[in-house]
Amino acid sequence: MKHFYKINKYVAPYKGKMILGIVAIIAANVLTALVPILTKRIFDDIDRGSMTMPALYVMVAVIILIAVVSGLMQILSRLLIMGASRRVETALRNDTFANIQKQSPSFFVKYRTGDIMSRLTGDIESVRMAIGFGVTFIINSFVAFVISIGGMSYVNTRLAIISLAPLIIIIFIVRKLAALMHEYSMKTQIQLAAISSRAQENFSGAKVIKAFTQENSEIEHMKKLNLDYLNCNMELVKVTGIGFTVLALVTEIGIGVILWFGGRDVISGSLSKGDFIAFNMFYFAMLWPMVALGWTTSLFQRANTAMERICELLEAAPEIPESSGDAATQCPVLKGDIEFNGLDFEYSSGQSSFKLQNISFAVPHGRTLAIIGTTGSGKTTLMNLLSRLVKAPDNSILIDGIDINKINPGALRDCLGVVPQESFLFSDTIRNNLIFGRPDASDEEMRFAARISRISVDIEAFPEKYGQVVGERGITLSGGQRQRIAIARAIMKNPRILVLDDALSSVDTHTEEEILNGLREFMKGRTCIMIAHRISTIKDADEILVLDNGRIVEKGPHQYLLSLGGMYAQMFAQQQLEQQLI
Amino acid sequence: MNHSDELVGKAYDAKLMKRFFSYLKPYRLYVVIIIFLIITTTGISLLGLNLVAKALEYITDGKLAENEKVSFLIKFTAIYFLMQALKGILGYWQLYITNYVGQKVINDIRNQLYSHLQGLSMSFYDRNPVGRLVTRMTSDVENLAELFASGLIAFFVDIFLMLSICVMMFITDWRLALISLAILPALFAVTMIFRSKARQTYRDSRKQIAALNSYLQENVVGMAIVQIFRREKRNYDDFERLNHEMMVTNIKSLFYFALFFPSINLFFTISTALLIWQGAGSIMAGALTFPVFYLFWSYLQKFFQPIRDLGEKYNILQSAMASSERLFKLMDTPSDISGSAQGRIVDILRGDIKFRNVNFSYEKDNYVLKDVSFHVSPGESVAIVGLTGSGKTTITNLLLRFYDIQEGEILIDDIPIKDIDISSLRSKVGLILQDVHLFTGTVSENIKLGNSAITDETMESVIEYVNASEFISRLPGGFKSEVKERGATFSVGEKQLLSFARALAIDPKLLILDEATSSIDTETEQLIQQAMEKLIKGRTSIIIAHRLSTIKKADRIIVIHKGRMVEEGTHQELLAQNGIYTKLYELQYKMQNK
Ligand SMILES: Nc1ncnc2c1ncn2[C@@H]1O[C@H](COP(=O)(O)OP(=O)(O)OP(=O)(O)O)[C@@H](O)[C@H]1O
Ligand SMILES: Nc1ncnc2c1ncn2[C@@H]1O[C@H](COP(=O)(O)OP(=O)(O)OP(=O)(O)O)[C@@H](O)[C@H]1O
Ligand SMILES: [Mg+2]
Ligand SMILES: [Mg+2]
Repeated sequence: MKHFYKINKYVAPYKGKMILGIVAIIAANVLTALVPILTKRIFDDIDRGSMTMPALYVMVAVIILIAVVSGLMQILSRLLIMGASRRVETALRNDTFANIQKQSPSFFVKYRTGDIMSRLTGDIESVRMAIGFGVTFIINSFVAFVISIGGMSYVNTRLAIISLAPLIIIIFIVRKLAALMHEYSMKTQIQLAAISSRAQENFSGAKVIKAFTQENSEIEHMKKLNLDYLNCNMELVKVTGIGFTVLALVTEIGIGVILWFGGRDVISGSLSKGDFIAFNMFYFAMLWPMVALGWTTSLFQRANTAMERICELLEAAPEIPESSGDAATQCPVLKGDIEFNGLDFEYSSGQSSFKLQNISFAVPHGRTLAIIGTTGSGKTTLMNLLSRLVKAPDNSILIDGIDINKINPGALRDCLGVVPQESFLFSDTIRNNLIFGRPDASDEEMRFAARISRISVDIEAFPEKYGQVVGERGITLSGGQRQRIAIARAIMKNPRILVLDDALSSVDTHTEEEILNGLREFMKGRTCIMIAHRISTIKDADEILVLDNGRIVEKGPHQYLLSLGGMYAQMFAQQQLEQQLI
Repeated sequence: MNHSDELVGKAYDAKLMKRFFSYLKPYRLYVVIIIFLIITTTGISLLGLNLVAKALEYITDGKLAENEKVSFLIKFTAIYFLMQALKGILGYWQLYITNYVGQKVINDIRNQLYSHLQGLSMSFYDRNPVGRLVTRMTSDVENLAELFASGLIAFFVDIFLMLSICVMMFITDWRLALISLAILPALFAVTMIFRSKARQTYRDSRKQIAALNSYLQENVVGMAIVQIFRREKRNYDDFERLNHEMMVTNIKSLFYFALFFPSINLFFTISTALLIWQGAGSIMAGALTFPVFYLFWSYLQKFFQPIRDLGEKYNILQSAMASSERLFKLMDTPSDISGSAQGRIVDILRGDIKFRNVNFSYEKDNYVLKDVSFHVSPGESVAIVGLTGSGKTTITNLLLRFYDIQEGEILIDDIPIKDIDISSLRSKVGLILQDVHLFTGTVSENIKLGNSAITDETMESVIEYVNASEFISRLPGGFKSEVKERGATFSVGEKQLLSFARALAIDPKLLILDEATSSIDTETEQLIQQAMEKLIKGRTSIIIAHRLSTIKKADRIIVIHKGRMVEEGTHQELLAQNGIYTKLYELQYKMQNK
């Protein structure tokens, strides 16, 4: 149960409530135990002929009163303990989400979206069940045990020891089974997460699935995952089933033992008949708690497994911590001088053998740098390093002369406006997507940004205008509309440094030119990095980097690069040629 | 927003239950076995209790001689152990089979739901957040499993038991029976009230968990954007709010749950108290003997046992009902694309495409395509050009019948598209989507996409065509290299190359390229262009591109403007028309040479 203990921190604030709830359970149990005693009194009195009608009324009234009070106790305990479990659940989910928010893209490469969703719902649910029901049942069982064992020992200690001896086996069995349960719970949860992930990817790639008529093969695949899940579940059922059966059996053995030893004692006269019957009754009172114990064990095992899975997310150390470096460099107001200084970089995931080698360049603030290069040459990687989505080696990237690793990622991103290569919008209104980075921005600013990025006309044509809700990722917009909203979103931030990663790839030439004209004004006084494949887009930049397979092969302004007669000049010639051919 | 939510009531529940039980049909035999096992194990444990009681009697009342007692004890203990062992084995199987059937049923439900979702059209996926659908597939289905695991079948056995006990009680002493059961109407009323109140909160809870999951899904997928735009705090607050709302609902339902079982218990005790009051009185008056009273008392215990069990599980039942409402509703969502199942199968696609006065809107009245007509002959290569948002991608969406048109007609090989079997059509079209989407798996799985007809040779040759072999050979595992969710570890251009290869691999009769090379460098694009010359031979192809250089190989160009087809012809013809195309062309030329 080493993982489940981690929940302590979350339960601690509700310690008082939990204790009160536990007390209420105990009270309810003890009170309920009083009812049979009273009933016995009534009939003993009738037997003896000492019962009167008024006394009967009183007794019956007392029984009902006890029932009412114990009912109230039950209600109280449920409200307190289950209520606390809901609050713990909520806090745990919040904290896990908060930690997920601190993670870099490499984390999301490791954990699939569906998996994360599964952990934040199914697994947290298991933990909640253990806190709510688990605790209630354990206390119930415990009280019943104490009463039973106490009663048995009181009646006959020797017989109590003998009859409880077989129960020792249970401890070993439970320990053995718990390990198995842990293993199978883990498999089950992983399998459920696999279903969740598969479904998640299927639904978000619905168009591809349909276009390539993969529905049937997807259904087959899901059937297989489903079957695996069923089998895992059945393995778990096997283990818990054996557990339950053995528990029941051991308890029944106890009854046999009582009959055997107790019976002989009664025969030999060393045990009174009354004691023997009372002993039996106490033992019987233990039957149900034994079964509940089995159930509770599986509940806690599941929760333990679940907690282990949650903690993987909850305790994952961010690759790029919120605060690194000393206070002075924590939150500087950045001008926007960028310098890459002999940067060497490799992805640590082992997913590719790609390397950035000896990248050095500088962009003084207010200047524009363009990057052009072959597919997969590392342009986007450079930008991800710059926005600290990926961790750079120390002292290889400097902003305003400060090592980027010493700048708080938040402070850095505050001065950064990024248009990513793939436009991602949220399923919200267009307005909220535009003001995503500046929720306090005025309508004026929003419209201004929409005008520069040439999306305002499109928006005005939508039935709900700026209030139009777009689908997830922006699927209800055209590719170019999405990209232009992403541009406007970055402009809205009024950034010191503007990064455009192939940000005009989905717009037509006419719109492209309009946007570039608008941006020219906007870019004045800001540092700007533009990535593009078309030379026409970038030739006005102050400096152009030509990247090939992780290295800078050429560097300089347009005219200079043309005069070099290298890769850039070749690209230019090719693009011109294409143009003439049509 | 959800009208079926109003459908509360017994009839409605019965319908849900009936539908729910229809899933048990294939497992009839198992259900019979389960019922048999339940009855047997219950019988054995009752017998066991009787046996113990008998043994006690024998031992304590001295009917047996001293020497007989020990041998009796041995015999008895042996029988007792045997019975318990038998009960253990049977009990184990009862548990196992019950769970097996439950798992099978939810397995079937999940498969059915998934199959149904696969058949729904794109407009369904436009509207429904992925997170919500995932919630239905996982959390809601699991909720039903919970119901099975908690002994749904046993409960129906219990009802029979209760009914027979009831009959026995009335036969034994109808007056006592009336008094002991007087509380039942009240119990029934409380149950009804509880049901309507609890159900609503469980419904809300299902809705909220779906909302939470949708929010989570989007945030996880778009985390980099959240971080770059510094929205962590705000989005955390949003998440916390959703989470909190869900908690409030859950605590509300908890209130009903906390109240329900203790009140059932209270009813039980009141019933017992009434019985004692009436019984004790009668005994004192000599109208009732103690054994009859005792019998009654045990009947009442047995009668209430299942009710109390149900009381404990009633919340599980209610929650499961709320989930099954959602699930069945989803399963009943009809596909917008009608008549897809019985359509005509096109074996050989010639690739003749006709649009006749097509009007189309994604949402009511907001027409995206207006009166579009054109004809593409088999083997022809046609380019579609136009400003962003003009409706180019929409045309391809219609060609693959992701959506149905409102007016006009689309003919493929002169067959109206609505009469064609959708998958036979789609399987002959190679579509390169504007938005690239890769799946978790390997590179080769992403190219073949579950199509076993594609050989490794084909795969390698298409990779050669799109000039991606060099990049794939650089990957640590070549074609076997892992692809992460959405292809997160590839560059955008690389992903585009893979999706290009994917479309070519199926050897399509109709090839649709929607901005297929927009993120690819000039050199690679050039090489692909050269390969394309070979590739489009014998196929109909539709090419959408903003870079006019990409479409220079096209036989004909169609210009779309604000949803209307405004120009059509060859490059030269269009230039002569001096319209939008000319403007676009000149602009590109100018930018290049400025
Ligand atoms: N699924 C959808 N639901 C609702 N509206 C949509 C949907 N898809 C596209 N639209 C709208 O239809 C119009 C045409 O979009 P379409 O994607 O066809 O444009 P496009 O010509 O491909 O543009 P681009 O060059 O930017 O890709 C746009 O205004 C867009 O907002
Ligand atoms: N998270 C990652 N883990 C491992 N390898 C990666 C990861 N992201 C990218 N790569 C690899 O790094 C190389 C550079 O990718 P990058 O996205 O920087 O290219 P790019 O220059 O932007 O290309 P494009 O023009 O296609 O956008 C590619 O070969 C890619 O496969
Ligand atoms: Mg890139
Ligand atoms: Mg498009």
